[in-house]
Amino acid sequence: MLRGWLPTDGPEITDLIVDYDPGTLERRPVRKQAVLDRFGALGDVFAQRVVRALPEVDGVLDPGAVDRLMIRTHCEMQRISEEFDHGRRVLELLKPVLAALRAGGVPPPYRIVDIGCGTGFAVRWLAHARELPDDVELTGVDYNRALVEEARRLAAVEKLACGFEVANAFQLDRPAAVLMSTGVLHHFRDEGLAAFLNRHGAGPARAFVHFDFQPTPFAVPGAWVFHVLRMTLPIAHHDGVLSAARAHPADALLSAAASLAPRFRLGMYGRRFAGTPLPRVFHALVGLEPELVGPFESALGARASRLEWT
Amino acid sequence: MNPGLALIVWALGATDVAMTGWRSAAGRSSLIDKRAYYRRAMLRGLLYGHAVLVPAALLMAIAVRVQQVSELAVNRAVLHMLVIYLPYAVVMAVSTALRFVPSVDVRSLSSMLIFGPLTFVRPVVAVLGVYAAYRSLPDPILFAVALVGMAGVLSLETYLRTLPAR
Repeated sequence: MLRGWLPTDGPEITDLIVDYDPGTLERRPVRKQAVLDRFGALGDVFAQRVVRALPEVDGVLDPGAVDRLMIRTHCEMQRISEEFDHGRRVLELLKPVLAALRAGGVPPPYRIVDIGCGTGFAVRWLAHARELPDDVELTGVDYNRALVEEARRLAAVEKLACGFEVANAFQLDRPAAVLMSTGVLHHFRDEGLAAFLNRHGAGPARAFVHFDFQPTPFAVPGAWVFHVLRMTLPIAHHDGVLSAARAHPADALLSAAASLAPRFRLGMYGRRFAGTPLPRVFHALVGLEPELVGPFESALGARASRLEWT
Repeated sequence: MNPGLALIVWALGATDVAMTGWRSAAGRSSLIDKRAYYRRAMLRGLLYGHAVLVPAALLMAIAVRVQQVSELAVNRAVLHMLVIYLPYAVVMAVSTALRFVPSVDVRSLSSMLIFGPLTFVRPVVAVLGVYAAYRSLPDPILFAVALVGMAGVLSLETYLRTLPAR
């Protein structure tokens, strides 16, 4: 339904208006015309209009203005997480994962790293909830320094026990026991998704949990209504609806992660409301080392029925 | 106007502008614990909302007197309006109560299936209520006054969003 309005295979605006060197994570200048041309080629007039309004200096998007816009956009986007009680959704899945690590003999401390954390809602919510054991370290990582600094500022304001780093999650000095993310997977397309997931197999992480929107017939119209009602920034309208349109189905996620087997047992969590064919807004790609699967299911209790292993 | 009816109309109006204050503040603070923030936002909604509601009510009272409309006719018109507003308010109240249920699914569903769609149709419901009153009491002056008051209430959120988030 979005064809002709939003190019569902195209990038989101926030994907293109910032750029980083993947090795050094240093910010790279983004030429405004290049972004306009990219969206022009995709026929994404809405995105072109948004980008055209962004300030530039000598043809390069003003990094300060872009940062401020990114922070405002993430602030608006946090409302989705709040309305859909996403913090608790994450907590309810992390608790059994941590219980499985403990039961599986993995020594603490357990470092949970939120990849592409943005302003760190999930990590800050978990820290604020204080429902995880003391031997759990909460860290958010993101390439975007402005978002990380905002996450740190917000955590300091509320005196939350969590940290944020400008870093590649797979190259941390102190690696994660559990990797997680929210709304990150759909940013990776085709080989990019497989490459991202494959990196989980190279590191010491024992489990991962990646939440994302679930593509259903209701997702795009629902996202449209939600964003029209709740968001004021055009960029949030565009990227929010496009996120729902670009979300990967469970099969695609599992297929992209297939090379992680047998190191990880893979599955989807929480696709349907209990016992009904009704889809939930979010689903999660879950991966655990095989010896952790039993304890994980035990810790899930009745919620184990939400798991669909491959 | 019957004092009981007046109280109900005021309670609905006050609740609506308080929630408007809440909505205008949502998405503008990234803190996790926003209870104090939302309390201030709802008080702001009440304050600015009454700056719209009180003059609208006074204007309506003057118009009723000038048009020499009987109290019975006014009460009947208000009842017709409440037939539209009360069910909406009840559903919103139930939905708000569901937000306190400790279940991610229940909270998500309340947002997805009730809050979202009902917020979407709120302007329509607001105008329908005024129209229902007009059908009962077809006085164009009163109708115009009611519509002006309603326009003020409906534009409150946009105005509040221009104020700094605190």
